[in-house]
Amino acid sequence: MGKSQDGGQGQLGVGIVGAGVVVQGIHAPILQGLTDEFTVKAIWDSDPRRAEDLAAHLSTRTAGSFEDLLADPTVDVMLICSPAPFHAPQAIASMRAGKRAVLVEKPLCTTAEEADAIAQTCAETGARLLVGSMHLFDPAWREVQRLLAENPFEISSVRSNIVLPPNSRFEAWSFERTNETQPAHVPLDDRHMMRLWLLELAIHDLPLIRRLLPPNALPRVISARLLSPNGYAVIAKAGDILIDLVAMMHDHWQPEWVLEAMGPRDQLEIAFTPSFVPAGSGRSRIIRKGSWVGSEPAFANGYFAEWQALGQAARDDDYRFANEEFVDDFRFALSIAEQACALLNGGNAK
Amino acid sequence: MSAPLSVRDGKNLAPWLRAQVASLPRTLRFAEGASADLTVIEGQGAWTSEALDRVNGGARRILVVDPEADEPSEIQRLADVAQQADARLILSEGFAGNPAIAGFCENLDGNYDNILLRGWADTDNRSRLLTQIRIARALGIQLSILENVIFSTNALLAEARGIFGGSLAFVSFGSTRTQACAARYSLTAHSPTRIASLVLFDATNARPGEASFVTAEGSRSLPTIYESAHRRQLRLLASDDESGSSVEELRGFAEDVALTRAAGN
Repeated sequence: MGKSQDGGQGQLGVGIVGAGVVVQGIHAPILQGLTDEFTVKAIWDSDPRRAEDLAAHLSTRTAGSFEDLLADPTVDVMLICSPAPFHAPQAIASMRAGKRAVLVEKPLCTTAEEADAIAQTCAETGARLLVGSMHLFDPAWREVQRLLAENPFEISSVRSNIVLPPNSRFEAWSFERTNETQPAHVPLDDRHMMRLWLLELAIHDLPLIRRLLPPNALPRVISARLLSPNGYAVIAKAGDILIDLVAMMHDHWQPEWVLEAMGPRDQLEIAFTPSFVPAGSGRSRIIRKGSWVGSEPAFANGYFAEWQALGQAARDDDYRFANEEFVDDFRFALSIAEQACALLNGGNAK
Repeated sequence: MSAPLSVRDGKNLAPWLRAQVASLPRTLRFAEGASADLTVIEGQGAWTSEALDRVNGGARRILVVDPEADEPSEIQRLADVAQQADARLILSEGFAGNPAIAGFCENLDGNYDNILLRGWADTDNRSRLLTQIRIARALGIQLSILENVIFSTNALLAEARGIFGGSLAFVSFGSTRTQACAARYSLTAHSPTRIASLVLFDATNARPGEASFVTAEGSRSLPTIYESAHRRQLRLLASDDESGSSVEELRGFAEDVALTRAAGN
């Protein structure tokens, strides 16, 4: 495995794959706030101009190719923010190139076979894998996990309710695009749209839902439909637990992002902030007979915490996640997405 | 000032309900015997047959508090008998009768594509579903059939298409049996540019419903109404205003019970 220039105890060198909106708006600002731990060594994007713009902004270099990035010995950890179909080959290549840890934006990959290959590569190389599931790292969820470990409760239903204005509403308040290039709009049929919704939006909460269910529970999707004008409604059942996934994105200003788990005597509720905005962590509540415990929003959000976790992973320093957890998260989400798409019956459920 | 109307058999009512009657001393007083002006029936068990007996016994103003599901055919029969006897019979529903609903409906602006009804209450699945269907009706949502109904021991999810504000909307139902929090039901209606939301609480006390509207200009909340559904309906029954005592309301209740019962297991 590669060593960082300072022997592994100081800054970790970061190689970035992709220089799009997520890197510009989320990861680059976070990394600038964590310069004691990380330094960006090089950026590669299939669009060289976009890579150059971001590299200039971060005072770093562009890599001539993905292979050039892999070959850079100063790169200890990789951030992979390319389009999802490239995640698996790039993550695997990064691990095989000896990078200590790889942070892959969600979704981890696109197929079960790719997930298996990533898991196998993790095992063979010993590299650490993280997925950018920021809610999993959000202090509000971490507090809920701590409280549930102390006082678990029987769960009857789980609900993910996501109501969002368009991302463009938040972007301008959180960052200036270094490059205004917009991806071409490709019309999708209903099945592809549902898959996209579940693997790119619901996937923020699906890892948390998986952890609220009994171990190895695989939900059976009962109903799936696209909502007008933009959104989805999915009903699933896992054992005796009902799962309600609803999201809507439309032209208003008020976001609401709530994950709820209800039991006969307890209620768990986490209210998250929208993506992109550096508005701190979510707020958590566990309510029992009218009294609650939980957490108020903290300064650090899930993005910040996931980079801290990446640092711990790369240094093997009090790191709490197993690679397999992230692979299982993807398998869980993929199962739901594939069942939901199959229920759309050729795309006429809208 | 006119003399208060008498309420029959007050001692048999639940304490919280007696307190609500007692809060209207210029309008109502307790009395014994069948000659009382108002009859209050609690809506558990075979309330339909009790109401029928009271109508047949001469009662002409009857309040049924928190009516639960009963045989739809019996409810229809009660409606017929009440109509023939010219009896006023009001179903006083803790959630669907919340006084916040009227103001909420008046302030709805245009059509809404997606409606989410959610509930948290320590009652069984079908009771919660009936409550939600009754709230939907009170809000003017016309439902015909429930789809994708799924129950677990303590939770339910269902979907429907409903006419709301003159257009077809997707309606999602979800609720869970719980003692974690005060019983409450919520509705959130979404259009491409607006959100209307309403939260209703248990009417054993006067916690006001919360109605709010999000538009491009901002968010607006309606004034709070610190009067429980049951107190409001008691006042209505005591008044000469007959707007809330339609046999159509009874027939609607029977239809909603039937819709609930038709939902699969």
